Amino acid sequence: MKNIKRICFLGKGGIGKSVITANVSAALAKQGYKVLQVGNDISLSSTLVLRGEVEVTPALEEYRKKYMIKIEDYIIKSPSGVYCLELGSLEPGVGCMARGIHIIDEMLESQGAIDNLDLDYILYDISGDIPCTGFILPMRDGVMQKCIVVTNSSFPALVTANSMIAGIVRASKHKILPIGLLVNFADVYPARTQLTAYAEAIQLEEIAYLDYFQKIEYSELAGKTVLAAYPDSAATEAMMKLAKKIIEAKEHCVPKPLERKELLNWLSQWKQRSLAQKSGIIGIDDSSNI
Amino acid sequence: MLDVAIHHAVVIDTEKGIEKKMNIGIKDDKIVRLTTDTLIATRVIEAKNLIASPGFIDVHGHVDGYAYSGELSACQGITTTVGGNCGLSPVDIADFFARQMRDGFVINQAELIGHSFSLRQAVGIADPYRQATPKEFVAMEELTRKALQAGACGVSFGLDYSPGASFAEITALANVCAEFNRIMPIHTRLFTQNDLYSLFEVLAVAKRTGVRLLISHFVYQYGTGIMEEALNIIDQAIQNGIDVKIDSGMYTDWTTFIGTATFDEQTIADNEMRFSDMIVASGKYIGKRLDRQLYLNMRKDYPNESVICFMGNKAEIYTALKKSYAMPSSDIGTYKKGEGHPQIAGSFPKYFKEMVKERRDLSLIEAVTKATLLPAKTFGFAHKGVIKVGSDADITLFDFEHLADKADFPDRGKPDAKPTGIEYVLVNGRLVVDQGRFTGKKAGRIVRG
Repeated sequence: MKNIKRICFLGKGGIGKSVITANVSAALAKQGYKVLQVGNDISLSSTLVLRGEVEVTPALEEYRKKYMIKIEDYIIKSPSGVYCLELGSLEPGVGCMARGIHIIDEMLESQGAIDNLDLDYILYDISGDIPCTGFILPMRDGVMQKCIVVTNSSFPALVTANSMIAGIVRASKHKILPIGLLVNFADVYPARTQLTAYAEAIQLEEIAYLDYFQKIEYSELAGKTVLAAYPDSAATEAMMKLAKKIIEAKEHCVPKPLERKELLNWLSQWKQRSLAQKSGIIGIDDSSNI
Repeated sequence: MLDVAIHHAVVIDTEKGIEKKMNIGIKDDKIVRLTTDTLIATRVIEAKNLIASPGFIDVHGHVDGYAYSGELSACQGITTTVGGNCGLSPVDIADFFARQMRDGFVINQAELIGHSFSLRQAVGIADPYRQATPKEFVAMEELTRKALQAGACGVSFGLDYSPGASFAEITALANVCAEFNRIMPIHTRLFTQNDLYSLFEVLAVAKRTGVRLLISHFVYQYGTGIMEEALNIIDQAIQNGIDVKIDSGMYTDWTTFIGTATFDEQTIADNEMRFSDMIVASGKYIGKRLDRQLYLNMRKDYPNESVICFMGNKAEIYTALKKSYAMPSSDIGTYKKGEGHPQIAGSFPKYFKEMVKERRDLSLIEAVTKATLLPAKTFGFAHKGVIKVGSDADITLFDFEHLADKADFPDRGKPDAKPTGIEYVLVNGRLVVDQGRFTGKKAGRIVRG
């Protein structure tokens, strides 16, 4: 049996998390790995750029109707070779997301899907902005082997990222789950400088950057991964590099996320720097972003 | 001559759903006459103004041969109790039954074989968060089979107490339970307060194995504002052909041992429980409200003492128990005199008083049927749950007008105060409560599944 790795992608909704996850999945598949991507958003959109127009039936919603499902019936193989599974969500207002991922993950294992598909990686693209107990459970209870927290330089995205890191650290009492920070739109000032400083401030060692690529934006609009739409582009190359970086094994120490007051003060200082930059006063410290 | 005659009682016919003023004749342990004729017997009970109900069957208890719990059950009108719930039971059921028969017991006892504490412990699993290995599955399956062969009436689970139990582990024992066509009572595991997947996972087990489910103390699990959603899931499952029932007590405030996983710090945080809402129910600190220091002290030095956690939405008790598939239960534990949770002494009288007399949620006949015939059918207890010729002479005579629970939480009253209105209780034809007083007669028997 292979040593399968489960990596989850977390972060504020709307900052490009699903598109990145899907492109990373495609890049890993291109590098020869067998990959399953699992999404749990109500829109079923996590795997959209992988599977294109092919419809999926949300597995958890079917499970709630049928109690017993064959999980492989809900997995679709995309043209890139990435397997896609959408869980769907809750009936709005009913219950808690807690354990949805556990239940599916146990099915993948106990029904032999992991072996049948010969998987190397499962990439979980987890929706949700608030790290409540239910949200953190799969990270706490050992389902995941690594977390990638996606953010950009916007105030709400970074606050969410910080609170997610805090949730994971708090939950990882015995064994610290490796956490990496992935900065999207890293070339949009002040993302690179600001988030490098943030990672240093919280002693987070693993940080990756993805710049804005028009080809990623266009490929998403075309319902494709950038690897499929523009295979020879710089964007594809960036995705291939990013995928390699994400699966690299590294030593991790425990990050120390900022307390709210500390975070807000820190962000306020960064707003002043942004204002200065926009007013034409660029400090030497910020030039690395350009 | 008859041994006992009961005259002029309003007899509840749970099979036909009617009530009728009749005289009941008892010989040995059976009902032999049901008539309007006057009967001659060694003991004649004048039951004018009393209701004659089949003895109550408590589907969820932890009496397990403990005499004082037997007494408190009898004084509530319970003539048959189902022990070994929540995954906590004797492992050697044959030996347990042999001891109960040798020593005698006040009421009838059926017993479940319990997974989450007992079987797991028996095969060497000390960590509640650990999954059983395939070898341990097999060992648990063998012990379960042995227990069911000895007459255990089903397999119980307390999944909150073994959060690490895998789906495969639960399914393995469910298969054995289904093979014997016995019932599987499950105290579900909620990882957060609103975790409704706790229901889907056990419904999935039932769907896979065909086992008959009883979801234990439903209000303690889902009476926190999600009752309607939880009941919808059960309704849907029944429509989908799954055999599932629920039981519940008359309280939202549950109790268990302070040393269990339920009171782990993580669980307390996950479910937003507060020390200030917890009262010690037994032992040295009875009646005291918890604070962090007392919590740590008890977890370390007194893990087997009970603590009551005050939470939940009272209205949801009635919503749950109104369902046609819901049965009242006590969740009685084993406590010394003066200790415990009021459920140990007040549950059944409180059920009738509140749901029939005060709120009119149920008719008297409906309420009696849910406490007698429905449990008897669910567990397959032949000759119980009904008053008719040939049935077991398990009868509770109560004064409906004066029926009331008197037990209260240990910080404000006596948790084991006996109720009023339960005038006579016959178990196998013998009076264990006579004119409201407990007689101490060991009239109970073993009820095999």
